[in-house]
Amino acid sequence: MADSPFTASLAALSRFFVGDATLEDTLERVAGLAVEAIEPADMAGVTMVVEGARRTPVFTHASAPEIDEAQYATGKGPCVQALESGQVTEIASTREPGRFEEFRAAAAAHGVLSTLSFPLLVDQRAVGALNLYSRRERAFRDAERSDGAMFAAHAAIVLANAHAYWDARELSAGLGEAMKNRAVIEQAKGMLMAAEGLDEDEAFAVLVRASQRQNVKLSVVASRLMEGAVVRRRAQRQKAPPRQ
Amino acid sequence: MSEESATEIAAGLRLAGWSPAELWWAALGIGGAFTVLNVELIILGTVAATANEHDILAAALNDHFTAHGQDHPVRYWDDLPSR
Repeated sequence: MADSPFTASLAALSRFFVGDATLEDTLERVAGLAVEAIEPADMAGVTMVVEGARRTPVFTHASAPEIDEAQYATGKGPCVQALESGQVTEIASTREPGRFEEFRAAAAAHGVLSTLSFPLLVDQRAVGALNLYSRRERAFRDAERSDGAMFAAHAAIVLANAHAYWDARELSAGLGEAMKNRAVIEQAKGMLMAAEGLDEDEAFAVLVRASQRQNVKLSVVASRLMEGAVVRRRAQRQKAPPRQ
Repeated sequence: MSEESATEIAAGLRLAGWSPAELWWAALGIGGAFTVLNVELIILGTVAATANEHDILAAALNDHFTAHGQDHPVRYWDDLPSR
């Protein structure tokens, strides 16, 4: 028996390996699969908090972020509501009066006549919202609400995994950079300890003072110190008489 | 001294717009051996930083400010008013 679009999309989502794609690619794939899974949806977008502001970083149609801007500007709309309350939020008809007046007007102007927004919940906390938009009024029925909730639950797991994966990647890259600087500072401290008879804290204090005097970063002071020491030692070796 | 040190580091943290975890990260890169909790407790004044710990946290912050054109606004241990 052939899989339904919903089952096929859910299966595709569960097979999705986040390490194969960037976070943005992952989100785009989730949004694309959502439109395939929930048939009345003509477009989808994902609302997230990006650098402190609500955004629609991924979408399947250019209208989605334009519509969403109406709710981000006012702080009122179904996607914002789903993200903040963790509750599914629906507008059966954007042509009819009701909550989120500005959003309804913007959606209707783009030909979007009904919307369904699901929170993407990780550990009881909404990390984003999956927004489905349809060009038909009252497009979403109980079956779509139920399928959408299941799809959003799976999408949240993919999103959480993607976050964890990219956080770990960034942590690893940052750690490499931090350790590079740390190594040169430790070398300079060791050299000062050996040359001046200082303890570790005193050697660090010398580097700190030099950094303050020269108004450069500590790692720059340490690098300069090490480079200077290498140059001096090489010069001494060249001056020294050859060994018998 | 511990309160003075905590106030100085906390002020630097606010000026940088950093979280304690970001300060921990920066301190790690210059030789710090803190946990994030250590850093948080030092900022709160619950745990007293040693002179060296204070200087590592101050240097981590000052490195950030130096990269942004400011000249070491966070005072080192020996420059704290009560010293």
